[in-house]
Amino acid sequence: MARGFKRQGAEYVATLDKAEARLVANLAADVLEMLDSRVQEQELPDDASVGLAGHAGSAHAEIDTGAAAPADEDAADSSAAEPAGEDRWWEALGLSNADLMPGASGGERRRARPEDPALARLLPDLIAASDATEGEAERLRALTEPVVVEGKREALAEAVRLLTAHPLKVPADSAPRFASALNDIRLVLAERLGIETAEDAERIHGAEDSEDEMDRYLALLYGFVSWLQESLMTALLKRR
Amino acid sequence: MTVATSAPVAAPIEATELLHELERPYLLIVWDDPVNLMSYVAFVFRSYFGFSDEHANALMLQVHEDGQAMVSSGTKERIEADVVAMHGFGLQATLRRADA
Repeated sequence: MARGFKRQGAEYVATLDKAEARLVANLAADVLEMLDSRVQEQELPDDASVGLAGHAGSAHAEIDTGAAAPADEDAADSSAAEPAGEDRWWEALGLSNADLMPGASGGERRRARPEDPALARLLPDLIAASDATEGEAERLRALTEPVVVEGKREALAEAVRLLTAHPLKVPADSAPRFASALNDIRLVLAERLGIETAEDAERIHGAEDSEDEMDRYLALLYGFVSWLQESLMTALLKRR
Repeated sequence: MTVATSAPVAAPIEATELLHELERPYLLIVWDDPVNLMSYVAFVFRSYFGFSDEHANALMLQVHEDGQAMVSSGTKERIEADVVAMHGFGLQATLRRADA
């Protein structure tokens, strides 16, 4: 039986069954793979970079989908966002004003919203359609999406690594990143389960006895990852 | 009574526009999402913006109950960085011009 996070010294420690830890690690690897496919799709020549989301499958072929813990070092741009100082941990996610300066990554280039709704949930538009001028959301996305993607990939890759240890030990510095990785997993599961409203979320609580086997399985996973994230938030709150 | 050395008619308008630019022309809007845990949203507000527990919780509840909340305001660059950070955490956030 799994036990949620407790602070022990400089770490947050949870005890998961090995099978449970492997499930969560596989989910993190799956989300990482979705983001990798987005990166590869965007590395196509400029004139092909908009509107090609439907071809993600072909860009995907090089990834070894059987690997439980994909190497994150092989991506061409993995050195682009080296973690900064640990004192401002969001900068370790690659988030800083400097990355957003006009011209840093491409002026008037545009990038289309991902066609996969789960990927679009991970990488939403920066401006609501009702507030945007023509092409504004696509221009903002071209400037900023690589930063968001890179931060998420680092957090997910770290989560995959941490989840191989038993018990699960998350260094205090990594706890916010680990929480964000769990959150990204939940966002993707929620999209696959069709959670759009609070009522949908309630319905999922009862979906353990759904007739659809896949829904039942996804609902169990969603419930488990939600519990794990909530237990980390509780442990983080207690500390203060 | 002295005569102004130079007082172009258009000056007040230009000055107002400049002031507006320099103030807080952009807003960060965070939207409700049935997936994100309330504890997590409050945690993000607290740790990223440095808000007090009370302020972070109040904003989180406003997002939850009203469907959205204005969480920060500032220059375009500042708010773009905030939106990117919120997306990094998995929150649904957008920027909006204050006069929109």
